Amino acid sequence: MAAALDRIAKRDPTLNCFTTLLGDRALAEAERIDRVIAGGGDAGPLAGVPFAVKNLFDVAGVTTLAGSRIYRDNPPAGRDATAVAALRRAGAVLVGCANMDEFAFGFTTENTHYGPTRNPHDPTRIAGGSSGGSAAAVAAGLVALSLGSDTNGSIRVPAALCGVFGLKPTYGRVSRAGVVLFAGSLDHVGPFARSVRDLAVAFDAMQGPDPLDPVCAERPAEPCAATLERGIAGLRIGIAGDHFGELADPDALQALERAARALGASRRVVFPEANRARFAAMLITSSEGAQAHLDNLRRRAADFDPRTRDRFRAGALIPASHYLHAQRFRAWFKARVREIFREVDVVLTPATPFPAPKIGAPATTRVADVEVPMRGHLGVFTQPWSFIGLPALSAPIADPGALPLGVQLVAAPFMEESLFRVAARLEQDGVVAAPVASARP
Amino acid sequence: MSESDVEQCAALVGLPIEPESRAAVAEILTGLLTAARLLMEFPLPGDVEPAPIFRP
Repeated sequence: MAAALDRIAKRDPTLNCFTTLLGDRALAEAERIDRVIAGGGDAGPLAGVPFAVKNLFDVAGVTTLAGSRIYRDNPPAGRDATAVAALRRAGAVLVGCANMDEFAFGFTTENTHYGPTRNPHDPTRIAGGSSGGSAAAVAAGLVALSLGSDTNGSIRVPAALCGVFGLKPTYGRVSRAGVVLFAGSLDHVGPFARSVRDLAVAFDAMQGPDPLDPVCAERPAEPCAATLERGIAGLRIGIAGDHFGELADPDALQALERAARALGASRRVVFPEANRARFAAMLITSSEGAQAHLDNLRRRAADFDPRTRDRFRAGALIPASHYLHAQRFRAWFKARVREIFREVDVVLTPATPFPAPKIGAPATTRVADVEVPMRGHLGVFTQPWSFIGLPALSAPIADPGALPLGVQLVAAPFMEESLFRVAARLEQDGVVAAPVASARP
Repeated sequence: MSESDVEQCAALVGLPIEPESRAAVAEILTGLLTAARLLMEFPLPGDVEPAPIFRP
């Protein structure tokens, strides 16, 4: 634990992953776990593993910031979020709370209040977001595990840009109790790690019913760590076509092809209206997000991050008819995709259309000769899946070149096990890997 | 979507927006409404509903 805290002391002043450090608590907790082990007790599958949480998770005794200045005035949380408590019960040791886009509204972690989190592979670049601090802390080896939240890609995008594994479980699979919600009908929580096994053990520790979260599924936990050796025999693996092969850099598409070749996957699977699914997700996110913060938008607008304030305000002005059409479209899209997943078990897509942009990059960029929003376009391949709650795992391609890139694996609801089996095979074959990002001069 | 449109819509929801921010909000809202138009153009069957589920 002392070594982890030393690494944080050395690298975090540059990277800015953490907004709160809990060094003394972490050392005391690690000593307690040492005593349990010395006494012959079972300290849990994650005994002594240092972890961080995005600062929208409640941590007992710490004010939950959700990346904002406004929440700085709130009293400390009285108890841990359910997911945080679950990791601690499994023996993991919380070392701090991680930076994020304000109220999770962004893909970059360019937070005006707390500064940008820097990508450990190139500190002039973003870590991705909104769970950027959590992803970067794992990528830099500051912690072995972390937690983030994902509404449109906020786990999968930073995982890809930082070169680590990130899982967005099925909607309702992991409790969100004690988490500041962004857009409740789309919000998920999940882990980051540098190996498939660590990711699975963390997921297993957290998954399962929780009466404190009204959308948490009653379906019993289905542990995945024990299935990693099972291989991919019997799994039908496809490559998402059309939308998921367009408007991306050649490098991102080549990374996908590399994973597909290794898995022997060649079948193209077309998901109808994926771009409209993205539009619908944007409308729902903006409407629900604005509603969640409407009171503070009225009373304390000046205290919002300038990067989120006007986007929240615009969301508050979306007509209800548009929001409801988006929700109805969601039901339609869910039904179509369910039919497709009767014929295929896991689908591959690029995780992001390009690697990490520079911090403070221009608002737009060109991809395949089309001008797209630099920041919003990062979610082009993740949004259609979170829109309908499907489990999705971002895995970092090995030796991608100058900057990390990820491949996204998607399955039918509650079929996380299939994702883990495919990710484990890719990892065993050396196609995906998450080595610690070394410091550069 | 003009600054004046933003002012009127914001008044309907009781959301004060200072004049110097209205152009930025109008631009973002225009983007959202364009996405909404493309979405609304898609013909959904009449029996599609979001379907909240209630269990005992």
